[in-house]
Amino acid sequence: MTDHRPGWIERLHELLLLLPAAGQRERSRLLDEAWPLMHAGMLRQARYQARRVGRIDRDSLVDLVSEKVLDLLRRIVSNDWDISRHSAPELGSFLSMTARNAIIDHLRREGRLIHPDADQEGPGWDAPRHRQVTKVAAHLESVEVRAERKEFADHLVACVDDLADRSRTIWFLRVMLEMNSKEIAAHPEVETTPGNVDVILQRTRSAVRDCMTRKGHEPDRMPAGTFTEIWRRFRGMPRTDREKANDD
Amino acid sequence: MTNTNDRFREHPSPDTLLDLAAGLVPPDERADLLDHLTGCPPCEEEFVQVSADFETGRATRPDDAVVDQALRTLPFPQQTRRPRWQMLVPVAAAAVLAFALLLPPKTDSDGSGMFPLPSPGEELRLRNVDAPGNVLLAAGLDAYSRHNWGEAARLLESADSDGAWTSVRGVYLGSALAMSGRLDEARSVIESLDARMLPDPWGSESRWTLGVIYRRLGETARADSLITALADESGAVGDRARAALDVVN
Repeated sequence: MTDHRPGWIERLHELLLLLPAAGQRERSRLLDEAWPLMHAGMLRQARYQARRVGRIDRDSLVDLVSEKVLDLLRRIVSNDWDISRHSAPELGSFLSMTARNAIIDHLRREGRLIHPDADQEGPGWDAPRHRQVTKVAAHLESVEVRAERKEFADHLVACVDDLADRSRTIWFLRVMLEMNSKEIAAHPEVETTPGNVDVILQRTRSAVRDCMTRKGHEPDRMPAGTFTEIWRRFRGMPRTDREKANDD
Repeated sequence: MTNTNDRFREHPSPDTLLDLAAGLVPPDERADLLDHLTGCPPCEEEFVQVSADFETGRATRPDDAVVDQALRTLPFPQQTRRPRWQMLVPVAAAAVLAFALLLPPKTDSDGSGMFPLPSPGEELRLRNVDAPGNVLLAAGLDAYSRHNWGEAARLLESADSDGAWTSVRGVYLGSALAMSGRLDEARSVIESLDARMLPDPWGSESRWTLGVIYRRLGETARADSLITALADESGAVGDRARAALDVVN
């Protein structure tokens, strides 16, 4: 797929343009949408950069990015940085640069900066290698494997479907996305204590494992495609008729 | 919006995957994209990462009260490097918040030359407290706000703190020790802080307290040097330091 002007950065640009003049309530609404976009966009760049120039644990990455996001928002609100003078692509470039510099500064301060290896993967894909791997994988995947994968995903969806909404969200955020208990506890769809997250998680993992075992699966062996099916069912927007038809 | 007219015959970019995670891809294009991900393990792997980034972003969105304070009342343009805890505290997901440090300073001298730090006051609230260290930290700051210096020092000494709260604990512990007359210990704690990098008035008050400690421990030269440096600064502590030098001179 060729790269195009990304939708998230355009949306973020729109939201940030409204921020300086917004009242308190409006600002809260804008930040509900803008913060995750800005944070996620910068965190992705920070991850790529950290992969190239040194090791940083995920918690530190999240802290660094949160710090930068809050700093940039403050500059926008105080009119120290006039966002209307920049296009959405310029904003995207600036966020990428800021994330990269934050990582380099952090590693340099800690004396852990290593020289970037030009052969290592940067932002985006290593496209030719990726295409080749995918082609080979698709070729090797037999009809049986595809059927097995679909059955596993369908059964997992059914098992997870039995969970209460919040328990399911907690299960998804931990098992599928590997978020830690503190992050999950602060997630807007969860809002509880990390200790409570652990308790709920223990219960739900056990329930899902038992359910999958009853259906004849080893729940720890999750075939490719399962995440997408779970996401499609529980995290995506409402499905189209065609998507529903595909299930039949 | 990202152009998705090619219907994902090629692999989606990370930006497109973030569009998907954020719900910005229209339903029809989303269906094509998800179909592609199902049959493309490396693409799906990237989508897992991007989804985790997005959900983490949602989880780290600070409370409005914290954002309001941070956006409107905490500009430190004079500093070239912002103290880390000043920004980290608002986003520390499981900890504390409400920000003792944002309240206006109360500087009542008790005649000893020591001035209390701005009080955490009643605004201090702990949320999502699940670690014993956080409870002790909150109790210590609460005792400090009641000017119960000995109790505050005892609790803050026992409290754990990490990253965001290490400097907060140190600032108030140093002050509590000084106010309760434990000068050597207070000196040790405050000297371990990078007080120049703390926001004012906490930074300047900590340095003032250290200057008073030096003087009371008989280290006059060190005290004078520090008070002289503070006299070059603006604000209440600067005024106090200039007044102190006027008395001496």
